[in-house]
Parts: sequence; C-alpha cells; structure tokens
Amino acid sequence: MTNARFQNEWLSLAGEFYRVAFYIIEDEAEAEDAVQELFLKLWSGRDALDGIRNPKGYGIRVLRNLCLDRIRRSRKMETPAVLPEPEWPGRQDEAVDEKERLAKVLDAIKSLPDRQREVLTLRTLDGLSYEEIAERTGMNQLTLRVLLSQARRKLRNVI
Amino acid sequence: MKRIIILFAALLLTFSAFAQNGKSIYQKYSDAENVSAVYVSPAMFRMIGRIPDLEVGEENVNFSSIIRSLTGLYILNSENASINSALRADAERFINAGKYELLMEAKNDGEVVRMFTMGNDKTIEGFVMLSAEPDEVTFICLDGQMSRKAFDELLATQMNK
Amino acid sequence: MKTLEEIENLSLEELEQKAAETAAPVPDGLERRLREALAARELAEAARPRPARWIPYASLAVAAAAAALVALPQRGPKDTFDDPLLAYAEVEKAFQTISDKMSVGMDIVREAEQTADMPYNTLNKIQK
Repeated sequence: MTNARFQNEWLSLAGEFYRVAFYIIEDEAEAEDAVQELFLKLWSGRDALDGIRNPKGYGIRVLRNLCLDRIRRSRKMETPAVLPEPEWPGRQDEAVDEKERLAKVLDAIKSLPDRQREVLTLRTLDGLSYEEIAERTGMNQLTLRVLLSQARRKLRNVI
Repeated sequence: MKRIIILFAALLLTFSAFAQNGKSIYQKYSDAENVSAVYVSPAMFRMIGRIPDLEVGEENVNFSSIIRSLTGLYILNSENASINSALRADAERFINAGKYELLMEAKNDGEVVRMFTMGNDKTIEGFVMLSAEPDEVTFICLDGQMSRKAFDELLATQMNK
Repeated sequence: MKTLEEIENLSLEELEQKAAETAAPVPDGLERRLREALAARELAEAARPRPARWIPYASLAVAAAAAALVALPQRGPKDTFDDPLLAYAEVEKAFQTISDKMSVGMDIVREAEQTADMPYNTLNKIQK
C-alpha cells in the first residue's frame, strides 16, 4: 500500500479512532497514546491492509484490543508480584531497542522547530521531492535543503 | 543471561538434526559474516503477484500465476569458509530428510551443482538448489505449488536470455 | 472508570457509533502528531542495520552463534525487501541463477532448445 493511500484511507480516520479510545480509556493523553500505537501498528503492517474493506471496523477492533492490553498492563503494575512472561532473550532485547529508538527519534522530531519538522515529515513520510515540498509549503528549494539538513543533523545525534 | 544462552545453544547443538527446513537453515546462517541472504515471504509473493504487467523476457509466460503460488524463497550465498561446510551439511541433511528427488547434477570447474524437486509429474511443491565451490556455497530453497510445465517454461525463457 | 469486563463486552457496533459522534471532541493537531510518529518510525527503521543483498560484498556484523540458534523456529524471518518490485527482481535473479547453472555443461539442453523440448523432459531422459 502506498504512503498516500494509507494516509487517505486510514490516517483520515484518526479522529474517529480517538473518540473510541477516549470512550474506552477515559483519559485524553492515554487515548492519544493508544491511537498512536494503533497507527504505528497499522503502518508497519500496511502491506497486508490492502484487502481490508472496512478500515474503520478493522481499526476499531485492533484499537479495542490495544486499549485492553494497555489497561491490563497498567493495572498489573498497581498489583505487583506477578512475574512477566519470560521472552527469548534475543528477541526481547531487539524489541526493547526498537521501542527505545523510536521514542528517541520521536522526541527529537517533536523538539524540532515547526518548519524543520514539517519539511522532514513531508520528505520522510510522504516521500515528496523538493519541488513538491516547495509547492506545498511555498518555501524555495534552497531554504528547504537547509532546513532538511539542519533537521537531519539534529536527528543524527539521536539515532 | 549469557551463560543461559550458551547452555541452551549447547543443548540445541545436540538436537541440531531436529526441525531442519529451508526456514531454519536460513535463520541459522542469514546473519553470519560474508553471507548474503534473501527471504521473500508468502505475503510479499502475493504483492508481487499483484504487480500489473510483469514481464519475463519476451516470452509470454504466465509468471504471475507461478509467483502467486510460491510461498517462500530462501537464498543464502556464503563466502564464509568457516561455515560453508556446516551450511552444506545442514542443507544436505534437510534434502535427504524430505521427499526431494535429484533433478540434475553438474560438475564444472570445481563447482558442484545439485538441484532437487519435490512433488509429482504435474506439480512441484518444493525446489532446492545447492551449489558448492571451494570458497562459496549457494543454497536456494523455493516453497510452493508450481505446475512443473510452467516451471520448465520459466527456466527455458531465462536460458534464452 | 470502566472495568475490564465492561470494555470486553463493548460491541463493535457501539464503538462504531461512538466513533461517529461528532460532538465528542478530538484534540487539535492529532493527525499532524500521528504523521510525525510515522515519520519517526521510518527514520528509526532506516537507522537499523540492514540485511545483506544478493550481491556478495562487505561483511556484516557477526551475530552470536548462540543467538542464531536460539531464534524461535516458529517466528518467520523478516522479508528482505519492503518493495515488491525489488523482491520480484531478486526472484527473477534466482530463476536466472538456477537456469544458468542448469545449462552449464549440458549440450543436450542447447539442442533441446531448438527442438522445443522442455528441459524437464530432457533431464528426465538423461537420468533414466
């Protein structure tokens, strides 16, 4: 599935998914977190989404399970003493590394000034050419390149 | 934690004959140094099957139908002398354990190539190629249902290139 | 606060209804922040060590042999390519390799190409 199609078909449902998450979790920050988790999951599996005819229904189903997991985990933390399920050492490290890396990159992106952040997203996520970005933002290409290289430099320290 | 991994590995070594297949061989060697590894999953084959206007040479072979029927492709190409013999041994054990039949064997300039298929006259369910040179071993394992005729046609078109 | 049981019993119809309630507020900039999260994912992915390509060249980091053995057999390996066109190119290359090696030292096969005999039948002849 192309990036553009994903954004049209799935990302456009963000608001609706948020309402569902908020209805279940009843906390704004947690609800947004859950929706973010949902979209990261959908995004990494986007190639398998081609055949899904009811994105809203599918997304809500996945979202509900995600919310349940989140709530179970947070309630478990309140009542300790249950040992977490053991995982294969190799894979757990990998999963944790990946999560940490993602969190670092996300923090770094959020700390970028608005224009750098916007340009980086258009380039990375939408895969737009400099020309297309220039058209969309009204910036000239030289400015774009400068912004992009500044953004990348900041991110490089993090990754 | 490290000690546990090593203990476990030692245990597994004694059971190394267990559960050999294309996937396990691939997973065992794909991360080693000087090994090129390619894996194409069933999902990816389905996506390939949806690419419009797939062309294979100039022939009008229905490649897409073959592609859609493939469920996995494992390729290992190793120039790592220290694992080459182990890789060969594992591959050979896997081939002997399954219902593979020798399709052809050729020796040429120090390279020994063997190809095997599994299935019947009409349908191939699996294909393995094992090529061994002094410094390089190549293992190709194809899983999936293919019509033998289509498979042959495909190879013929490649030979015409 | 809803109990786990209440949540588990929520029907999809009910949730779809809630989704459509335009009166319920949605935080500003939600979509933008989600896009940034996805961009972050792409960048994080790009920073991961990539598996080797079919063309043999520079060595990869050596994974501990123990770790390789401990890998769960039922978890499938990861696709080498994200792009089906690239994957297709490799599949075609594999067929090319197979057919190259098959035609090595087999003059009979060359003859067969002219008479339009299928390679399989030919090989069958050789083996029998």
